[in-house]
Amino acid sequence: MEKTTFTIEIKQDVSYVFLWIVAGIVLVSAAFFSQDRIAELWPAINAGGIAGILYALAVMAFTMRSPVKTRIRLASFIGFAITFSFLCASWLTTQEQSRWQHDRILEIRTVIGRLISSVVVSDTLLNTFAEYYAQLPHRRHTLGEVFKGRNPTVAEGLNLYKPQWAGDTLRRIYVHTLSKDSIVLIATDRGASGRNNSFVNYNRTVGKIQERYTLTEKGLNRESEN
Amino acid sequence: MVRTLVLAGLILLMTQLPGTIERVAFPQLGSHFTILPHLLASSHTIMNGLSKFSHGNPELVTFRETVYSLGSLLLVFVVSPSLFYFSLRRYFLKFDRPRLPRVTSLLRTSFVISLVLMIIPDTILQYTLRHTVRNAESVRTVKDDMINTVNLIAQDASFFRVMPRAQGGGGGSYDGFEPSTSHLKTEWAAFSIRQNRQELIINGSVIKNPYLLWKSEDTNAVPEAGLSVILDKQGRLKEWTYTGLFR
Repeated sequence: MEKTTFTIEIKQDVSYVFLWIVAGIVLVSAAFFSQDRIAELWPAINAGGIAGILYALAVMAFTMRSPVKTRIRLASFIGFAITFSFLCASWLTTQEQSRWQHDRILEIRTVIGRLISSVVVSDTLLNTFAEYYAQLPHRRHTLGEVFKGRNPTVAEGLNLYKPQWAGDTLRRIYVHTLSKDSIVLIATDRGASGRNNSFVNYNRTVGKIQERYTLTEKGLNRESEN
Repeated sequence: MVRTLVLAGLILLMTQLPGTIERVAFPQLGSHFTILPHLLASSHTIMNGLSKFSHGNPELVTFRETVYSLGSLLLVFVVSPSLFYFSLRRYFLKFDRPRLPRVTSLLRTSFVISLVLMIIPDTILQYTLRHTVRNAESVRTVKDDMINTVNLIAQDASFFRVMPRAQGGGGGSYDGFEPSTSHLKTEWAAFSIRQNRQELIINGSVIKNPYLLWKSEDTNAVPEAGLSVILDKQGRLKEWTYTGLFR
């Protein structure tokens, strides 16, 4: 049986390639891990990309040195410039677009948060309002009493919002004031950011939307506090 | 000829390789491995937004995503340029030394060419997508803003209807209801109301071009975009109708 022996010789050019690749891995990895990677990948990817482009440029300059002909060197540089220009353009556009879409998603969440709070509060208070005026002309109960009669378990400071679906856990509607002539409700949503990031909400969260609704005999008054 | 065909086949395979590896070797993994690292970062940023949308908390970077992104960076910026340029130098200088096997040089060349072929159409796609998405999103944003205003007008009208005439209300109808001035005209739209028996018809149309929401252009042209809805005597909004850009 013929025995085949394979001998692997590491030639000088192969060792050069190996050393360059090891150096590139160290350089790009060091740049990548030097950045924060907790919430977003972009800082690390950008640092690694910059280090990577510099490394690729260095490899190209090293390998295309003389005695490689000048026109080949020039063609190589032009090919490198075109390819990495397209890559940079795509990279920057993708980064800007993804961050824009991220911000738009959060804005949509804020719009939805305000809309749902508005509809739920309006429905709740409209029922109280209608029942109050249905008592006329022999009015027996005040506005506050009618509201308390319709919501017997609520008191000032408590949440009266009931989740509308399984994952609806971030929304709250608190009874701020419950007097005989007025009812003040405050709606917050822990998943929706408001206009001011440092606004302290009624429920001690920070920077979330907050709407104040005041019902009196004259009707409903809305105030967007954040 | 044979070498050219093999090269073309390898290029085709290389562009499908990441998805193939994902499906065959790691079917349980949810994250998509891509050669282009910025696409992975983009995917995570958008998933972050969706996580905040649903739970209020951001989605943290996982170990798998870290490995994938570093792997794609090393592949694109270190391994493929190194192998490509060193073999290019050997080719142009015609070194009189034993070459690496042909299959290795074919793999190397096809990988680099497939990378270049992916980058150029990806860049063009990104620019096109950006323009399309922003236009669609600006129309949607203005439409949502108008729907929100219509809801506020409807709520005010409902409270007015319930209030007795002696208190300044409608006494069971919408007769005499007037929306507040801040609702009749917003930054992007103007609204009007019309009585129809026991119902209220609310109409709204844009007064500013929605495409100008995120860009500035020297144009006064306002495209047609409007909505119409009926508020019934029970206070329910029904028969939403959209025209022009909102259709």
